[in-house]
Amino acid sequence: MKKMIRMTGASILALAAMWPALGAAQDTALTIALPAEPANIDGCNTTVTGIGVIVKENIVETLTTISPEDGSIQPRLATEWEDIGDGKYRVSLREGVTFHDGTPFDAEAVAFSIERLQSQEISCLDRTKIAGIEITTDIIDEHTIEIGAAPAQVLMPTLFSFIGVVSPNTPTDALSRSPVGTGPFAFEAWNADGVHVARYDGYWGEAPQVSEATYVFRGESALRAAMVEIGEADIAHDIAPQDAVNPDIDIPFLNGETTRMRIVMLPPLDDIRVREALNLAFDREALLGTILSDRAQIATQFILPNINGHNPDLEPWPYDPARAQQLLDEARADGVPVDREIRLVGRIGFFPNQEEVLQAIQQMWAAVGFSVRLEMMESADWLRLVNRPYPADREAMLIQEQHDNNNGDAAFTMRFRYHTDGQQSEMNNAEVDRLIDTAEQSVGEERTLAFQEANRIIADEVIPAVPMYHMVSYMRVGSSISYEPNVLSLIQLELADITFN
Amino acid sequence: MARHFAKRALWSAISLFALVVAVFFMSRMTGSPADLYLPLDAPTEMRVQFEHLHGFDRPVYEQFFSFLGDLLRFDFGMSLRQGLPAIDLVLQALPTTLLLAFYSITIALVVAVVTGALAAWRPNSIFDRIATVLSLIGASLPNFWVAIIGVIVFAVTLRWVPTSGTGSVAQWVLPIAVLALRPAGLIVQVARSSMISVLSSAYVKTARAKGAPSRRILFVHALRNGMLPVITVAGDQAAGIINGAVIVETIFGFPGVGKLMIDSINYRDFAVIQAGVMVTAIAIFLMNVLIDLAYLGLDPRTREEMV
Repeated sequence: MKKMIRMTGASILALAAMWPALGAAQDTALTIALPAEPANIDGCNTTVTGIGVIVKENIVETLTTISPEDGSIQPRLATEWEDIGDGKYRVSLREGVTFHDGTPFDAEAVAFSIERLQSQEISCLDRTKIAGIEITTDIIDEHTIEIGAAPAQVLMPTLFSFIGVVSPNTPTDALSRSPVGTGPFAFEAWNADGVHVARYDGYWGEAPQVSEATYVFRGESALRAAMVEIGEADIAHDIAPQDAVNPDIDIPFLNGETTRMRIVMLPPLDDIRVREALNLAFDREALLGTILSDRAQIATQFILPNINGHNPDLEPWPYDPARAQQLLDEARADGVPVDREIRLVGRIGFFPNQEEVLQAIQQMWAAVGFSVRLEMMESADWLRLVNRPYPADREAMLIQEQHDNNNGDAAFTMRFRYHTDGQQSEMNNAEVDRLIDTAEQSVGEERTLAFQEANRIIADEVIPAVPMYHMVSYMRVGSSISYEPNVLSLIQLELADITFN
Repeated sequence: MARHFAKRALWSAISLFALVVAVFFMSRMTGSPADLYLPLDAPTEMRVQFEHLHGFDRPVYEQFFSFLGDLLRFDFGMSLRQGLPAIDLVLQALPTTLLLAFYSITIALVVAVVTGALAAWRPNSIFDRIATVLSLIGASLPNFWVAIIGVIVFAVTLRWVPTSGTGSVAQWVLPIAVLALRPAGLIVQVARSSMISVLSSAYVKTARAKGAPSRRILFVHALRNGMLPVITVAGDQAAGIINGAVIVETIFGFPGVGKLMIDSINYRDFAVIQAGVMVTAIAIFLMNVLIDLAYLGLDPRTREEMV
């Protein structure tokens, strides 16, 4: 009996001695609950939401990064860069960096990654960001490389932020599910539990507090939120507003997405009075804090205020149903077929409560005399409507869209959406075309002003859309850690930014 | 009897073929995987390259014949999403789903048959009424709702079990309970009504008159005949549990065939969808054979019909 007591006492003591060690080991390991399991986590897909959130700057680093605060370009694996003309940049690479497999990081590795990114053998999604541009490399020495673009790119340093540098041992004929990069975390395993990463001891920069992380995938927002509540996870990514019930741990943040309704400008929507009426009859304030988060912002244009080229002088549309009705009456008197039914096409899955939002707006429009029919579509059907070439028998309609320009500059929005030859443009305005052409070839203030002027003409004189909101997401962050979400957090969640309380 | 099973196998092979053809063309009618796989703002040039790389630019009939050719070698092609052979992915995920289905249906069957038989012993008693109401509720509640409520009650509030995931025994409790609920509810109803009619038959009255003990009458004499409709419904439910598994596996993050199928459908991973449908269909065919065999064991009359 005595012996037993002694033994029990000893084991309690032993356990007590182990406790702090156990505690420390557990405290710096994180579990992050994400909404969907990605197909791969390749270093050439870092700009894709569900992939970048795991890989970008955690496992695979890019040449430059974009600051979430002001959109400025910061050095990462590239330390300096210089425009040497003819579309070429001379880039100095960081020294003393190794990949997780022990291979040294050098100009060869950068050239390899750029070639792989452009390979026709695999579908690297980051290629979307450099579509129509051919990137060439010229190795000068171990840590210097010349990177050229044809046609020449004014935003070359921004393009560098899309180039994830992977180990030269990465396969070139398949997308990788076990990426090897230079980041502060090395890929460990991907199994039924999720994706595991562990702190890389040979990292060139400051060692992060987090020692290891597991990404688990749970489609249900309520379940992700519950996991953080009971300590099974430390971060629940992208939870629905109705699950964000605890203001202490549910953090709203502008997620970089902007929504609007594109107007297909065919009769009766070819008449600008009708388009004005659509905007005036929509009470944007009414939806905030009711079916949308009160932290969402009313948008005046398709890009966020932190993006170069955003025009700060544009005012949100006032809510003026009387004026809307008057404009409609005027148009009707001039023979515009304003009573014709207009389709409003939504794409399923942009944001929570989306259909309710569209129904509310539909009712506001009905109140001033519009006849709008709401149709929700799967993305494949919806894509057929938004991309050129448009069907010949197109009719007037409104298409709900959501867009994220997280790249710091309006160029990633303007040509695509507003230029006469833009893939998703409805416009044909010579002045806007000229301003976009000018802006794309300029730098500094000239660039900014040209984009701002284009945005003014679009918002005030053309009205090709019903601007809606800059959207927010909620992240549930467990009370044992600190993390401040930012506009990039949906596609880039740096474990190194997480600290322990 | 061998002829019966041969006939059945032939019919199943014909329906399997029809199913494969239907799935092949219907999945392709939903559109190109490029729409889902590439970002919304991907340029046309990238879409064309993607389709060429994966052979989706070939005429559909051509894709179909090469698919049929490969199928003869049980080759379903490569998964678009994961770059691995589709059939391997399905066979890897299959044991999880089979175990989940097996535990759920076994628990549902045992609980439901006992409850149904006891309820039938004294119809309209308090026990019968409670059992009927609860089983109706169980049979009617949608899986996804029960799953979320289950998490809130048992994982968040009571903290008895983990919310989700795999690895420990505790993580199987909620998914199995959720999956078992609906079949259990239905089987209670069937077992109860079937037992009520059996208990009023002449041979049970004879047994009572002989003075056989109640427990023996209920669970030996009556249950054997009362089980026939139960087996039919349970077999149906077991086959249907794959539907429930889609929802339950997705919610709880269980790496089974259901979750694999949903992920594959969401990404138009045609090869995996086809392999998944084929393997599931074969599993259901085998289950039907098992049900036939169970019938044989329970009811000698079916033996004569099958011969």
